[in-house]
Amino acid sequence: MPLLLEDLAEETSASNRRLADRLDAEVQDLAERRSLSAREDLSAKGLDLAHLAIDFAISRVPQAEGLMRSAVAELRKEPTGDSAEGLLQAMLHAFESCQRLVRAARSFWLCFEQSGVVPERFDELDRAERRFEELAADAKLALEHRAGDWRPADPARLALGLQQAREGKTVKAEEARSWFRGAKS
Amino acid sequence: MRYHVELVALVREYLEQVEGLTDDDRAAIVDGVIEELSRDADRFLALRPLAHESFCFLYDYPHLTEKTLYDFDFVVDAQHLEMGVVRVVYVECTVKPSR
Repeated sequence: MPLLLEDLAEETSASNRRLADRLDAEVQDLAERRSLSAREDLSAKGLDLAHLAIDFAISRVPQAEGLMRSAVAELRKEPTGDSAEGLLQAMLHAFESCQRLVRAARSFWLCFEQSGVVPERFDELDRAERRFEELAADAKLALEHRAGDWRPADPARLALGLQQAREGKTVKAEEARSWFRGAKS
Repeated sequence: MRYHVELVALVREYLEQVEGLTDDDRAAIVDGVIEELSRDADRFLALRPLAHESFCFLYDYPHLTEKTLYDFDFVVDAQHLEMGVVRVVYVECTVKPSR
């Protein structure tokens, strides 16, 4: 049975898709009006929608980060198997839908820029897009990792390292940081 | 939460014998690994657990020099994660030209 968290991620994907579709349709509509030389003043209503789209896309960042934090907590309990992979797939779709929403919001705003309206909050939108890219990359890597079944090139050395760690034969970070300092190669 | 990162001597021995790295490169790699693991070890354990070694995870660290991309795979023992300690027990590296 899918986790509630998976349902939340899928709801996020669905609502992002709906808004992105709406914005894409608005962009198409504006483009068609131009091609018919029936360009009219862009209404305050349209600008309100542009502001709303930007606000909404940026507000998805803390929500997406919260989803990932919750997913990490769930994966700690059950790191592998169908349930873990289903959850990661739902996360990946949610983060990709956030990226699409950002792109749709930016495209919509650019329609207004062509009419002399200065775009607002694009730097925040760029940061949001980078964050969604990072989150999507994490989810994608986690899925690839589960599909790949990584094995060490030198299993004996891994076994020895694990044995040493479990016997407490380790050095602390402060000492390790000094390993290659002092003698220059 | 910040995690205390510990390393086994085998990791040092391996880094020493990777050809083409300077000691500055090696120090930067050790610093980078410690910094990222101390911040996000729980996230890495959740995202990249090792199926065949319980409480271990794979951690990838790329290091780029002028001519070469060194792609390190570290294995980290998270058996004592709840006590705030993770231990780097293994490393291997693949090398690719950077351009």
